[in-house]
Amino acid sequence: MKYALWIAFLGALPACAAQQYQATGLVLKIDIPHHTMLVSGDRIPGYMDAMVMPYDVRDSKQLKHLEPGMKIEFRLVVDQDSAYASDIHVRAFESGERDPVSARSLKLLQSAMGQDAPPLVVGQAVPDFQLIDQDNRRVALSEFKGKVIATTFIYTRCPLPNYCFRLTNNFGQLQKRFANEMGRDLILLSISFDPQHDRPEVLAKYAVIWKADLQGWHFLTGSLEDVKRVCGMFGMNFWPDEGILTHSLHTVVLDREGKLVANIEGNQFTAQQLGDLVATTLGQTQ
Amino acid sequence: MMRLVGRSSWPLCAVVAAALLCIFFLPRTARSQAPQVLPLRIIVVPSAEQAQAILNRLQKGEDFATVARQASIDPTANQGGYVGAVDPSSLRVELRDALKGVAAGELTAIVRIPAGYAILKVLKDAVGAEPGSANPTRILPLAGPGSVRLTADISGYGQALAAILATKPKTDSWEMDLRQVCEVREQGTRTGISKMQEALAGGDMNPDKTAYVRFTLGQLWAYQGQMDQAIAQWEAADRIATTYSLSLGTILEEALAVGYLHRASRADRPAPPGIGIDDTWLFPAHPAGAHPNVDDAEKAIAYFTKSLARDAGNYELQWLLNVSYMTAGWYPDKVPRQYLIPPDAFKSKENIGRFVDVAPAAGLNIFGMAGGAIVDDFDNDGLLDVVTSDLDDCTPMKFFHNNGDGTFSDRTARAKLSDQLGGLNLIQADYNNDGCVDILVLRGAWDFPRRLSLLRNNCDGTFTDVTQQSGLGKVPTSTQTAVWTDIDNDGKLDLFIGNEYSPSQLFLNRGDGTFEDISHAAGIDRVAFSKAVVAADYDNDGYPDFYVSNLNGENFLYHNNGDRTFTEVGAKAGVQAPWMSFAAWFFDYDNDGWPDLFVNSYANSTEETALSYVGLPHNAETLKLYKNLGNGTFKDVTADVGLDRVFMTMGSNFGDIDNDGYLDVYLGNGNPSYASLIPNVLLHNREGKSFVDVSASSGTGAMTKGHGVAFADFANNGNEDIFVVMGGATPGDRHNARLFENPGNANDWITLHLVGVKSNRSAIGARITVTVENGQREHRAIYRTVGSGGSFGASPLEQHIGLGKSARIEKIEIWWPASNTRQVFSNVKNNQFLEIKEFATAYTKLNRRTFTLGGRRNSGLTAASATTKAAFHERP
Repeated sequence: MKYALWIAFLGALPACAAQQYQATGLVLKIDIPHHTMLVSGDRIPGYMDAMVMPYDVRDSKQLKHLEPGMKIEFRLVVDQDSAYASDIHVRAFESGERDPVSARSLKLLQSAMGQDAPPLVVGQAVPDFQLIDQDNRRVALSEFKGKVIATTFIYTRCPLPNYCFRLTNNFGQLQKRFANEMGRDLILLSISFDPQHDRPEVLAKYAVIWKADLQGWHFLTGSLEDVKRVCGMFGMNFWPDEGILTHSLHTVVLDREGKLVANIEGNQFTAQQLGDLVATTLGQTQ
Repeated sequence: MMRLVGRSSWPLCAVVAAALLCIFFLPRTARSQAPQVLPLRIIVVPSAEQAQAILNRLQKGEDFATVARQASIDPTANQGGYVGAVDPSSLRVELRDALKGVAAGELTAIVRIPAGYAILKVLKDAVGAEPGSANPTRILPLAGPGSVRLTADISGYGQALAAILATKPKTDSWEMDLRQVCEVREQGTRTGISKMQEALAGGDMNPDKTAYVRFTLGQLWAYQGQMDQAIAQWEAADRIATTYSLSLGTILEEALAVGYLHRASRADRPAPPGIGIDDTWLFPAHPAGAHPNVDDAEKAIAYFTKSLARDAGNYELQWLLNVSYMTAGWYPDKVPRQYLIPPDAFKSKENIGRFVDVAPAAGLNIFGMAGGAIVDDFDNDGLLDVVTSDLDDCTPMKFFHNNGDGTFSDRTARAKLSDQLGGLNLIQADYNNDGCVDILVLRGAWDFPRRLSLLRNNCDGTFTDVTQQSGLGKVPTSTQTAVWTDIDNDGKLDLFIGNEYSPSQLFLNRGDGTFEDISHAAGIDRVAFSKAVVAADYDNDGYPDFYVSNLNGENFLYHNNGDRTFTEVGAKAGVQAPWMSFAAWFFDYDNDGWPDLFVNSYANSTEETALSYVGLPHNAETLKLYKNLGNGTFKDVTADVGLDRVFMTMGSNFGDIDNDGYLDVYLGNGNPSYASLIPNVLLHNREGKSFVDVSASSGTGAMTKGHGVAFADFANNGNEDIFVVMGGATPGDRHNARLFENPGNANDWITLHLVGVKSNRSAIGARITVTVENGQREHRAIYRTVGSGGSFGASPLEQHIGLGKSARIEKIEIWWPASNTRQVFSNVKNNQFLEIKEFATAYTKLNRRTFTLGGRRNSGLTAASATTKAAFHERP
């Protein structure tokens, strides 16, 4: 195991070199009884590359508020014979860019006007839903029971490369990384929140652009009401804006039982980290 | 050594500035040739270190495709990084620069792009198995359009719409009741404001949420035009953002800058309405005429300067900083040198005389939001009347009767039009062939479906809403575009409606006041976000065809099969672009007898528009001018005629302002944001060879946005004036409509009022060919087709035709669509108004009295001060 080597390496550091590093990463798994968390860490310049590592957390209270899919920052303390994480802070998705700001402002207004149902929380079973795929077939979530499901929300006309494009490109990289699992063990769902435009034939063309393996990657649409209901389960919102859409950004992972494992908001994570989360959910050792 | 191109905005800025010098002088020659395509591969990786390692491997001879498959995070990875054969000018500027001088087989340096660190390889040949050109969606992060910075969203348009949508009743029929739509809209915004106020009063929110609530509340106040409250909320939010270093701070800074600038130009004291590129404002030759709110302008300057210090490469900020200095009257002297856009950048390269706004002097007191415009003679008195609509669902349309003495009277109530609320656009035609021009009001654009209104002209100065009995009013839709034309040459005008997100509709006129929906049977009911539908017989086969311009999608060209069905041939004809299309029209810009196609691009970016305006390289897609080749296909001549520019155009139209026989263009530019302060543009057509921007020299470059545009000879003096409904998409962005009076010219003209007998009475679709001899020059033909012009703004159906200098009319030829007959009149005297009836052997001269617009007035200055008064006539 790759990270075992790292632990050995960290432990082998000279006694005098008790070091501290500011680290960030995506939480993959929490293990409260063992006081550890599994994190897909970002690169720590001059120290270590981006990689998956389990971290001891001496103060296990700090683990209680964590969930898979959360972006965190923490202090990595490395001393003579151990390494542990402390001062863990959840870094909620925050962006000063035009579109995320608008989406958050609109969401706030919409909630205040009583238009919002609370989204599912991590660990909850996701109620079944039916939508239509790129081949105009009815697809039910329950069909995929026993498989891990990653879902994201897009619209094909999205003009900004940092939003829908980026989330879809993440899936493209999942498809590459999990080529053996696609369809058998892993399902990717790209749900359009622009169902009036993104009819099945539009999604079929879009799937070709992404060279999607349609055994495992489904592009879904439906009636506006159905799409809204599914989006609502995950806190996903969208509003018309002069012919384009202002929208929030969500990527969710469901386990084999159909329970919500993670709901990642925003675009501030890498395809590698999402893949690590999927791998963990698949039960793969990394 | 690793080389990074454009790693931060500063070096990028320097690269852009350096590139400017070359591009400024090169584009016409360089870009008018057929685009050169380069077959490219790309590798994108997340970090500079990885990129350097990969570059080393590639330089040692590793196979690019293999490395791309392994390491690239770009979607092209799975075909070895192959992008396709790409026109480099379609790529984002960093990649464009990096490719300069890179020969086939070579690599570029490492290029920083938002998606990561890129290395490109120029291939010797295109890869056979892959399609020839890259898919725009897949290469979005590499393509120019993917790097467009959208205009900062400061106007509350989105927030108000969300509040309204959250308030709308669950019942079906409410959209059919215009009063109820008005109530829902007003209640929605009010509720939104009170909910945000309640949240603030409730306390118990963290600083981040409080800042967001204040930002949102500020947006809603800004929508309403309550800039004092908006600024107060944004300032409070900005204090929180500063204290807690919130990322919202950057938006708040710009909101405040834009908010102060918006208030500065709308000060509640004598000030010109908005900001026009005229002597008073952009080039303050006599600033005594202006009374800007200097305090507010100064605050805007301070905020823009602060934002620019943080984000130096942001050209939207730099442009608006210059506009703020203009507003204060301090441009160009006080603008810091590093931010100055020199006055030369705004100078017109040609002067065709100065237009003066005479709307207030003429009594055309229209102060409102975006809206439609029709100029036509609704009471057959030989005088052109003006009808306008207002996007505001609570504002009735307006009917201005031309008094024949240079003034107009508001006869809305007398015409029984006071109940006709809202509507972004209007069109006209005599659909029932009774000799009086009727009106169609189009509603629901951009937000939610509403009903249309078909208003039958009773020929007695009143109109009757006949929507329900006509069969047009069954389902509410979101539309702002429709066109009347006789698709089957039966002499009755049919109606084609373009909708947003729902099928286009084709209604066949039964001739008894009712219509039959044949959309599906005609094969013309594609779903798109359609922003323009226009008609012309592009292949001259005797049947009118349709062009549909779509926002966010390919455009359609429907060829009329002559049997009430249509075939979509957009791809074959080569007219599918731009991707973000808006207003459009057919016109014969080069007088070769074949209708050409002008399609605007609604690039939602003040930055791109500003870059393009001053001649800097831009990333957004330009408008398209398609020349009809006469063989069923069109050629993109946009760059050839100097129109490869970005305008963010909404309302627009064409006419001949200098009577040279070539059709000129006026573009109304902007978007809902108060940050979209960019000038409208007048483009002079130079003999069908190029279009020259004469906005500054003509005094028509208003900064007050522009919607319905009509070209019409209001004063019966043989010159077309330009009427423009100004104003934005929010109640806080109301402006005065303007009537730009033509300064006149030495060219000749003729105006033809056609009356159909077997063909539709409005003569829509009739074709006019005027053959003239201009002095020593050879004779030439000038072509017009009867219609109201472009899709957003309606000019008179009678055709004003410029003939050029010392013109002798050799003949006038009319082709009538329903009868397929031709009339030829030889040796017609120029400079007169004629009525030509289908089948008639002679024409009738129309006696029209010439008058001065605005009645008796001394100078343009009087008109300007009258403008001032009208500017602040608010709705009670």
